[in-house]
Amino acid sequence: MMAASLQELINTPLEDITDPKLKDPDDPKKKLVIKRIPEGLLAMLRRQEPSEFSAVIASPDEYRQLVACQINYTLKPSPFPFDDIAAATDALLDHQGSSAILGLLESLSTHVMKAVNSSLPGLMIIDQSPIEAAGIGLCKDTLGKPTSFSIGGNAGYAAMIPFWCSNFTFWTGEIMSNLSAFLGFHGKEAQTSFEEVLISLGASDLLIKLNDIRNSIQANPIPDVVAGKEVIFPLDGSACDNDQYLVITPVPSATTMCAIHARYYADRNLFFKELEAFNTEQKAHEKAENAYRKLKKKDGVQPPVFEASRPAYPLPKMGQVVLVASNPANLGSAMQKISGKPIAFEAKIAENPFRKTQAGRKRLTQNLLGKYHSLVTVKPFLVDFLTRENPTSELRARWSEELSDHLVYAILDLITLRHQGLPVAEADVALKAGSERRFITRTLSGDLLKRSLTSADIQELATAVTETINLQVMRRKNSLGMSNDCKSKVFDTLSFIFRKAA
Amino acid sequence: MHTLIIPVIASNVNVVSSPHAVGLPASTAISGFGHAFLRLVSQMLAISLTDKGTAMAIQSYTVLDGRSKHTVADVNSKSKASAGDMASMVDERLAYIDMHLLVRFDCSSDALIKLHDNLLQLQGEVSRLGFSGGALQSSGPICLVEHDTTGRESLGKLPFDSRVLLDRTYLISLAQALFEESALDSIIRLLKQAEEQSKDYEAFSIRRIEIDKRTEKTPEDIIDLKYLGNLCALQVGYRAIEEPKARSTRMQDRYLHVYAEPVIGLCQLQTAGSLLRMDSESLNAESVFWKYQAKHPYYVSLETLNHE
Repeated sequence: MMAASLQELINTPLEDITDPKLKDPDDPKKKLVIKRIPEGLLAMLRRQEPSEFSAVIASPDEYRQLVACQINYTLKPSPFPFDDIAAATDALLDHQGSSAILGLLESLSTHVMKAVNSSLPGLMIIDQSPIEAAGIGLCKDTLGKPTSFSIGGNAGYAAMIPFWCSNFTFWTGEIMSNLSAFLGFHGKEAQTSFEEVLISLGASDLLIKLNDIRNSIQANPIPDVVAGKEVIFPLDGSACDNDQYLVITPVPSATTMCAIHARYYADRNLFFKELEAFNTEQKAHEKAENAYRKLKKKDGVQPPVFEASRPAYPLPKMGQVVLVASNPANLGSAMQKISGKPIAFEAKIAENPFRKTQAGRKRLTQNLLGKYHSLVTVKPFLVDFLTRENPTSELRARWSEELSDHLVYAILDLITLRHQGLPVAEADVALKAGSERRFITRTLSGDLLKRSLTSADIQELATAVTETINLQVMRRKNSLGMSNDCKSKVFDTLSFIFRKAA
Repeated sequence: MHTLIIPVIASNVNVVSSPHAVGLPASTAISGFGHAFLRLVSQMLAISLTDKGTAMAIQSYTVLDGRSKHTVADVNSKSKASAGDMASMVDERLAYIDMHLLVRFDCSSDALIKLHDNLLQLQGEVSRLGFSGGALQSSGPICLVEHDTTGRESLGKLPFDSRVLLDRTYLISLAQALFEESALDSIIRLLKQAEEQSKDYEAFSIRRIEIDKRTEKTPEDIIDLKYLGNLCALQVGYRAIEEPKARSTRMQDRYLHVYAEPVIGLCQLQTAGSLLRMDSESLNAESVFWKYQAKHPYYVSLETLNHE
């Protein structure tokens, strides 16, 4: 893990952030520069997972500098130097800034409500249930990831997310964010340092309100209000009689959503989609990398390589803050739709090859009405299969076993029609091949008009189909057709199939 | 054990069963329909029925590509409305499914006779029920198969090419133990493998994977050789995140309430014909029928809670 001290990062060259929609009033061809941020800090401020390039805080003063940087990220235009304490203090006093900070903390949740519109107020649910050893399927027990929180709510608060969630390395060596420090995941020292920083920036009122929110989270993690769908679940099979049910409100877990989301972006060749565009994190990462290279070249000094070891603290019930849900505007919605492609497992129900599509059904109907000769279709693979040479007994045995599967494809239309009935009236069927017509139109139970399907009919049909297949084999292979042995086997199999299907 | 075979056409079925798995209705919807139907029958005919699971056999399936909900328009400086900047929400997926639902139950012989006499009336009641947010329409007479212990007889009455939904959630824990990875990686590995296998089975070439019964089967072989079929992810139930509490719900305090997160499992779609071709030992009819199982904190609809 590469890390550099905060001051070094602040001293990296500035990166211009432009707003693509605004034009510079002085030079209409250029875009307006709204922020100027040191390159080294970009990865920390924009990246959502613990960055490789994380700043190391060595003292409470540096912590104050860091928090000032995080707050100054929201200011337009950016102050210079970037860690200007006065500007940060003013921003905290400003109503917009402090309400954003409060609003984000209020929207903290491990499970998001299934609301259809994210602007509807959602529930704050903090899940404190312990992990079960024997998990089923994919859920919190089997995911193996620390708890992720969903944070957001109002898109206007988005600028303050780096304040809460950007990661840095504390002087004890732990990697943490302000949110995890404030909630007490990293011990008392981190919590009190954060609070002291806020006080030194003149935000003691804000701190009181934040403390109130934290206390209410710990006191009442799951609200008493039922909001969302209600699924009634029977607790056993005789619930019809003994009325044993449970009402469940499904709330998807942010941890699972973030895990799938992170996995999707981690593996570009994931089978269900390919990543088409870089996201801003990637760009920020690259910029930070460049900044580090320039640092190295300039001072001729290697930035300190710091091996951060995550301490194994006894799992506090609330877990660890790892990742912020990606876009605050999407929160509260059950499905994340990112550039038109939902990030979820998608069941691909391939069209059943046996089931004819609408087009196939139309073709079949036309074939029945028109004077089409035969419904038997012989495909090239069948011809290859029938003329295949099987030198060993094992191969011959396998060939015999697979014969019926291959033949079914040739007589599929016949079987389907026999099984499902005719799509047209019986009198309209104008099929030329008499044996096929009899097979698909005659019923099994005989009637006085001698219209039942007899075994003689089936034999005749099997012979006819064998001859059709043989003709195709002769034509395609330019040979004398199937051997007698092969022909008799085909005949036997076909009569067996027809008898079964009839 | 008896089975009712109910042919239905379900329209506007919501196949976004959870934010993580899209495309099939949740297994709780399947067993939920069965339970609701049995409850309706028991109330109508005043008989006592025990729910033993429900199966779904799909004949045809069409799904909307998905559409986004409306976004609030922005009025720009020229007073023209334009699409807002907000991301459009909820991708709606609705399906139109033509299927057979097999409802398995236990009852006394008197109740069976009563049921037998009222099948036609029950057919008319099917449209009173819903299926995963969609409307139902009966597409044929209800068939009652009596004394069907293995379920094989009722499967035999289905069209041979309808696809039965089978529970394969146990594969996740198998792969997890085998490859020592998290459940998410196991699911992705299995789904990828199923897709690669299906690529080998192209429309014009048929190959059969031979599982040689004589040689020793190591665990790796089981995953490699096993034909995974059309493997899909779907929601199989819920995992409660708290103890059930008494909250006021629309059931007016009759039952306890709990918040729960969805659990994702795996399922396979196998044709009824191919299921019947399996011999009796391998055809475990239990894997076909989705049953409610409640074992706090898990409230799932699976064939079995613990698979060997």
